[in-house]
Amino acid sequence: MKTFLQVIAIGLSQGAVYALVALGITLIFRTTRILNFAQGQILMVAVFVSLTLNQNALKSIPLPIAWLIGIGVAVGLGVLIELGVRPTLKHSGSLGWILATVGMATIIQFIAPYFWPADDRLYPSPFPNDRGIPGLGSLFSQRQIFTIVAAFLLMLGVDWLYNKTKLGRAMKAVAIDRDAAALMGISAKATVRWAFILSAALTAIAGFLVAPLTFANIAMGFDLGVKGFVAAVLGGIDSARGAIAGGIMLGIFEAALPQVLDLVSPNLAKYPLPFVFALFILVLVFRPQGIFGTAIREAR
Amino acid sequence: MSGGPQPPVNPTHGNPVPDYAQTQPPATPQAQQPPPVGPSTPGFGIKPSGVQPAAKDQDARSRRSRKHTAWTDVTQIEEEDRVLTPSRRRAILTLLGLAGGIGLGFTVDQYYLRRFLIALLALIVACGMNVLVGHTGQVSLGHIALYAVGGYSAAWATTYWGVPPILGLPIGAIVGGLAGLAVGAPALRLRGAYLALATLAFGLIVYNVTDSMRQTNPDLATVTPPTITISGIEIAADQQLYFFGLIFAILTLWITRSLTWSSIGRRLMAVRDSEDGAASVGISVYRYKLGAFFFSAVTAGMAGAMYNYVDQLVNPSTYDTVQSIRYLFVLVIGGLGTAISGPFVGAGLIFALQLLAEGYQQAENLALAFVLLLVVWFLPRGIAGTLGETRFIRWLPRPYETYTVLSRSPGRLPVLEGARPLSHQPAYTEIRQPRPLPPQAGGYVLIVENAVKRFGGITAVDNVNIRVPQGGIHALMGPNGSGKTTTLDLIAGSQFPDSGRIIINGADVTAWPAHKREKAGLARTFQNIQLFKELPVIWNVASAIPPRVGMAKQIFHTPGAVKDEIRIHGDALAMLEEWDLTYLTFRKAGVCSYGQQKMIELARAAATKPDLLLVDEPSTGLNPMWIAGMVQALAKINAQGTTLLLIEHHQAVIGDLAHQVTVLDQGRVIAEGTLDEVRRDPHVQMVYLGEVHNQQPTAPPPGPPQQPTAPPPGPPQQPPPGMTYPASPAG
Repeated sequence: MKTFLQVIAIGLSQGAVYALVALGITLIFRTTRILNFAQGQILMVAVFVSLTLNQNALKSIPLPIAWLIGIGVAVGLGVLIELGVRPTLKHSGSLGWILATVGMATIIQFIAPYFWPADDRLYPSPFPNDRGIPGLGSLFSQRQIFTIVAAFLLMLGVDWLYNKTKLGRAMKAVAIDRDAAALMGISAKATVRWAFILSAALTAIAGFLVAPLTFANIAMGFDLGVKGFVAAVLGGIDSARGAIAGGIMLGIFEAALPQVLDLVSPNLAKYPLPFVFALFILVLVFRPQGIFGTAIREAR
Repeated sequence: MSGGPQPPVNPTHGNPVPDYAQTQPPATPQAQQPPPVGPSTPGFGIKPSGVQPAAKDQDARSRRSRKHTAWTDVTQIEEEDRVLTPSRRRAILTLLGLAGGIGLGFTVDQYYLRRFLIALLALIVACGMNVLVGHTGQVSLGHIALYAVGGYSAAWATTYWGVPPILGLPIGAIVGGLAGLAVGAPALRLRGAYLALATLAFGLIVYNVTDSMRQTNPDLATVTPPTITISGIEIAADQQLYFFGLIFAILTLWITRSLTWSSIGRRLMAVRDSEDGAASVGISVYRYKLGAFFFSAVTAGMAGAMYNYVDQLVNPSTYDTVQSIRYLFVLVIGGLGTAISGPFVGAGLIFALQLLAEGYQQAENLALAFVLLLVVWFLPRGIAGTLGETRFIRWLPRPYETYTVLSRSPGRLPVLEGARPLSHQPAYTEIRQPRPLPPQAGGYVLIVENAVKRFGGITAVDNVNIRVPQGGIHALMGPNGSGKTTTLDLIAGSQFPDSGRIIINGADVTAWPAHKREKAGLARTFQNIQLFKELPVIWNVASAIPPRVGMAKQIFHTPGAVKDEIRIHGDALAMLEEWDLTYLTFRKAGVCSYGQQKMIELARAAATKPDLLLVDEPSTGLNPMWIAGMVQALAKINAQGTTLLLIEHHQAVIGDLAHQVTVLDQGRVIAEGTLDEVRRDPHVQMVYLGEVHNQQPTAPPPGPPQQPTAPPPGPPQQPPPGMTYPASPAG
């Protein structure tokens, strides 16, 4: 029972982070039919910028301000990526933007080692003396609860934005037909830009939430980016709620998998990742609309 | 027309209609008006002979599009080409390349030779990926996994399982190919970015599995494979390995090149440009995609196995995801969709990077990604592709691929040197006898029996019955949303009925996929044109002409296969001649005007020599003259023994062509008969006009008397003199 609850706790907090990354991916996909392969790298940069500012030997900047600056850098990066993708959209087919985003991801990934060391680093948490939640024992740590709550609030925000605001409606319109949206007085350019900005900000926050739970290293971007894609596809890449469900599902699946594999062979339990990706391929092939999704439009 | 009036503009899509402009007397003020419709249907039969319309066009829009346009006169052969024919240039280049490759092996020292060898391996992988990504348009981000599978299987087999080291290569190739099939078979059901994601995940699985073996099975994770020994000589020195690699690189290049220029290559590119269009001419889209995946997997597996001998050490880090992306990057930088020049440039880049960034993997990847971005932004055809387009190096043979891309330079397909339209093969465009129907067909080429198709709660096609007798022309009418196109899709196999039967030529094809129905004698055109936009017009038509030699012969470019290619091109040229499309032969289909594209699509469908042709809205969006030409063309196809089923809104067109009309409304058949009969039907009047007119239609439709069943395959029905078509409503 205790293991079960622990699995749920870890699964929920990790899953909330995956859900946020997936939300960022979906936000861009729903507006532009593009999958941004550089999403994880945005996260990594945001985490390391804030970390460097906060743990500066000369003058440490308080964590919230470091976070804000990190978000700012992430947003700038998001806009750069949007600018970099734009020329490739003239051509038909998906190859152009796939290459552009993968290329930019590669650049960010291989520039990073020139700024930051390649080893694992501790990331400061807003709860430095984490003693867990009174009454729950050691089940949930404060930072886990914080992660879950913060992620949940952000998801509500995105859902509200998408369904209740003008920008959200504009995003839907641009996704369905760019030209028709432009004729209705919606600036497709600005809408797409906003999608990238919001997506980058969400991803940066996901980074700040996950880094205290694990470690910060420059490989984290690639890992979380891929997991974000898995989560988005699991839940149905075309919907915000699907991305959230997919993220939580992936988190719990990943947390439970070693326990289950352990029953088969202790050796297997150490390497759950291939099973996660195998599940991903199966869902992609047999339920491309996601486990909860009902319909999907073609990716560009 | 220089400085003169603008060419007439088609009111529905706003593009100039140069072809008709050319047939008009030059520069009179009347040319501003839409060209008058004369007593005989003008224009279509008249070729713009000897003119180069693009050169004369002052319209800004045309000027912009001319950049992407190859106007080519087939008969014009440049003087230099008579002596140095493309195939001779190609032979000279091949010899030079061979001499260079062999010469390097003897002259260059070990340091460089080793890097050349690695570049050769990259060349092999890039060739395979080019067939998959460039020709077939399927993006894979996980090819390194197949490379790893080939490498590991060869290493394990030769090191632990007592297999002679020389067999490592074939083992790597075979196991790599099988792994490719295992991954491709499910993953190729996905398109575009989803395929990229699935292959990326596959790459991560293989990487994580091998990486975990470092702890669990160190012997398997890190292997030192034995060297090859041939008749007592150990092949270990870089020079020997280099020649070993060279042999396989040449083999791969040769196969890739022949594959690209065979029917297979053309059909792969057709799949890339339009899957629906490819299926409509009988190409099994899935099988071609899987074939391309298999080929690229075999090359990757082979290169992986060969790398064993180069490095003498196999471990997981050889195969991380970045490596996979590197191969894709260099290929794109070199030029996707070229035959072999793109992979060549890519391999050269790998060689240069090894020298420049010796030991600095990070810097190397960084540089590669930057160059990739520049190429994606500014040279979407890659370095080799762009050079081929601009003829920057004039002496180089103009490659086939020039015609698959936007081309500014006129030229010919080298294989056409032997192809003569019309003379050597008179049979292809001859009027043929309709294929005898099997007795169970009962005289009907098409029988639709109680077809039902539902989408959610909507019944799009509700118990529709249609019978089309051999040689007949049948029209489907009905307001928008009445289920016409869905009915056509059910017949063509793009969608499948929930219940009911479709019988073509006596064969029950209800469950057949679209491409298989072509074998039953079916062809179609689409409401939204499905041409192979990146291919020249001649290849659009040629892809519909089935090859007569087997795949193996095409892959190895045997004399028989070359002869067959010449036959196909000759037939395609003859088709174009017959359809008065010769002046478009080498133009990229995607840049042709709307009317031209519709006509090309019809020519492509006719090139399959169908017994039954489905035509979806032939006149929509065309101006009156194009409609007249379209009617003539359809009548001609019908006269050649093909039964037609049209969807059409244009009453005049239906009146001219159709023997029998079926009117649909909300998925149901509400009337059947000749056009006159259905026009008098009160239900039809209700649907179209909202009220019932009791008097006779004011203008009875012109046209020859119609016979409801089994009309004689008489002469083509020319629109009667004086017949005019009002401009068609758009949409």
